[in-house]
Amino acid sequence: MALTFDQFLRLPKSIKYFLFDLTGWNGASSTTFRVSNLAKILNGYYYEPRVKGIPSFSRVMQLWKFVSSQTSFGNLLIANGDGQFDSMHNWIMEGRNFSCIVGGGISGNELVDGDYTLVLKGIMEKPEYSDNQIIIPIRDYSERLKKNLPNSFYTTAADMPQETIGSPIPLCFGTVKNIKPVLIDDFTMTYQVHEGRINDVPAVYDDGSIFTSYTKDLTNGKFTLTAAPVGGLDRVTCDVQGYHNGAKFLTKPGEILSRIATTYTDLVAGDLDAASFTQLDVGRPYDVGVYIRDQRTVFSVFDDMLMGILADWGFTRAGKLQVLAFELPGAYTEQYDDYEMIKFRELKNILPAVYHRFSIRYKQDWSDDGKTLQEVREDPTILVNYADAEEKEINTYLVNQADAQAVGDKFLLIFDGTHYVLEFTIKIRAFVHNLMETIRISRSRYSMANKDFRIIGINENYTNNKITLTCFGG
Amino acid sequence: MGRTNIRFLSHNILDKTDVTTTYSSQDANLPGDNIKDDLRTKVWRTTGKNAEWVQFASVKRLVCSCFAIANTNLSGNADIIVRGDDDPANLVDNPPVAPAYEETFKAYETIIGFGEGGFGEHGFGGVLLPEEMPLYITIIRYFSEILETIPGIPPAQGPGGSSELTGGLGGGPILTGGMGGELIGGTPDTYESTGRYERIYKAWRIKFVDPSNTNAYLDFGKIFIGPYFEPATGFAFNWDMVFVDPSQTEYSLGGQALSDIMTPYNICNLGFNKLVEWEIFYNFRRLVQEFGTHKDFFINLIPDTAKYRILTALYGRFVENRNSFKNYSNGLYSCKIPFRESV
Repeated sequence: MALTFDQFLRLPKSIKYFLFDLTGWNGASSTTFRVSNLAKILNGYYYEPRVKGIPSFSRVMQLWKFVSSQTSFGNLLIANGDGQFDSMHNWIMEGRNFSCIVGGGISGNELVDGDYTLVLKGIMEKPEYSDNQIIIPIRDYSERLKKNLPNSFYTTAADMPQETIGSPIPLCFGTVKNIKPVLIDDFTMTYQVHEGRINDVPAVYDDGSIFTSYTKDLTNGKFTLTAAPVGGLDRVTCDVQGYHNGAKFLTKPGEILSRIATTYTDLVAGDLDAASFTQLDVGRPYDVGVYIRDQRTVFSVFDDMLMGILADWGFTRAGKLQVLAFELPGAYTEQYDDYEMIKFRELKNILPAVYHRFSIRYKQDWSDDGKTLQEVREDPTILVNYADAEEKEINTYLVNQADAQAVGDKFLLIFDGTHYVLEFTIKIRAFVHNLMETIRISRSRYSMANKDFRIIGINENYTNNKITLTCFGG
Repeated sequence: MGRTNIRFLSHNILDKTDVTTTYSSQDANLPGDNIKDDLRTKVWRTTGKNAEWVQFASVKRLVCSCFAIANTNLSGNADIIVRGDDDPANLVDNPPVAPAYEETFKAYETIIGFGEGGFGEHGFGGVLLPEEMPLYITIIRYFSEILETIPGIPPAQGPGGSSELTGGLGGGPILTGGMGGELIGGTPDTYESTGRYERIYKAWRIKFVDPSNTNAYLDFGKIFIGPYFEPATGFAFNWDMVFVDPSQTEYSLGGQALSDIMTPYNICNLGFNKLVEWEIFYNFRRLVQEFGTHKDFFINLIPDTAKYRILTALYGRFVENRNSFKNYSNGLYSCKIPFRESV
């Protein structure tokens, strides 16, 4: 009987084939090394059973530490005592693709070859070669978000100020207030706020005072003063509605980050978990804005924009860039009890701190050292229950006060001390669960019957087939 | 025959550097030379199944008395035809001159002898039915004994005029003579046993004919062709086979068994007593030195009887990296060598 992949992952006993494709590059052409834990011919290719150590997968959210999640894969260990894989040394493996396909079953109840499924995808680091084995560290694609932006620069042009030549062409996304535009022509008094099309320049300021004498070139992200400013050309600031894709002015965090990832990194649309970006804008339908004048990494833009709205980003097992809003438990998709768990514990050491007040900083003044407005949200009852509850300031790219209030309320709900973190280990359902998925736990002890939790950490050890899920809720 | 119950198929003519190998066809990603790799799962995949062959040729003569195949998908109806000649041109179908040696083997032999087992088990003559045939198993076949003709006495004729040497119930020849199949010299038959099985030719071809295979291709893992070694002189031999399932089971808090299934394999503990000196020093020590724990080869327990060969044809390597040869008594030696099947 043929299994579906989902049925295969639920089998309490099964044989699992891990088939790895490792791409090497020699500067002119590429080759693929195929290795596995168990011999298998798939799609006409032989996977040689040389794998001694299967990479693991770990992704843990750390929002309560106000840092983004970490994804790690561990190492791939290939037996090479006979030297048959010495030729790998002649290829560039670091920075090249690694992928893993999984299948199997039990005798008479197996996946057909066509249902073997890609479950892991990442990047190889430089292998370590020794007499008996080759160790290949695997990592996710996050290095690709360490690209700097802006990544275009001004070159010498007529009447361009000396300080502008060689500086980055700015980028502007969403609505930003009082930014310092780049003076690109001091004869025509032309400024630029974005490389490419923008939605509008609704206001220009001359040393803080409204200045109405200007014309807009929205297609090229520029405007030109038609009268000399009283405060001088270097005291001009403006409000901007930034990047416009030709059909729409992008204002929400998901759509802006998607655009940044696919434009300023090597990632293409297919490398993104598109549904997660869409879902982020459903869960966090807030207007945001960011102005990037000096170079910074894409990584940091993701961090700063998402941390401020209680959201996270990272790469999935299959190598897709994913964004996730942190929420309290919703409708559960899977249920676990003692029948599946081989280990269970409540984690005291990674419990988030309790906060009774959040000050949400929003509507940043981009010209004045980050001066912002503040929205304070607090819940005095939290102090009643937890006398040592703390308070925290949150920097955001939010634009509106109502959105700042909504975000503050979400922070209070998460950090009110009524939730807890637990961890349990199972031996089925590898490759299935994702962060922020709601599952239901049923145990007879600690009043834990039918409690719902969000998954905030996944640690999958494929060598011993143990899946450890860390969950928040209760 | 009937003297011993183990054979070592170790020195493969395929491993000789001056042997040229050619193939009837090969899949682009699973080439013919995969049969030279120790990994039994690394197969040569043909693009057809009706008339596929592999040919080995050298300027020197090559001694062969058997062949073995590990990990093949040949079906229960497959024929294997072995040809040997000094001229490779004679190894083709319809050759200009008939090859000096040609023998046809069924891929799988009887596992239950005629008259044994329950009524209706297996196919005619005890051959496994196609649906019973486990794919990707090990096949070992020995060339027939070289017989000498005693001139002057015509062969006995069976019904219909054919020789009684052909046409047994199991499809193989029925040799007249002793219980062990040996012919009794000097009988008024046409042939007499020589006790020799080796043929020596410069070129060899193994042809596979399997039109009823459920796949459109044939797979062959490791192929061996060459001579075998068999301890000969009054030795005592014992072995036990240990079936190892390395699967691991854990139990959930609620008691459910959760198992990670691994590939099972056999460990065969071989014990020899009363080996003579030349066997120890020429054969056993050579095996240990040349193959040790790093190279796979075939062994065949109970080679005398074909009906268990499907179970006792093993492909693997020695397990221990130290093997002692003990002086058993004056001029006789003993040794114990565990052998692990490669998966």
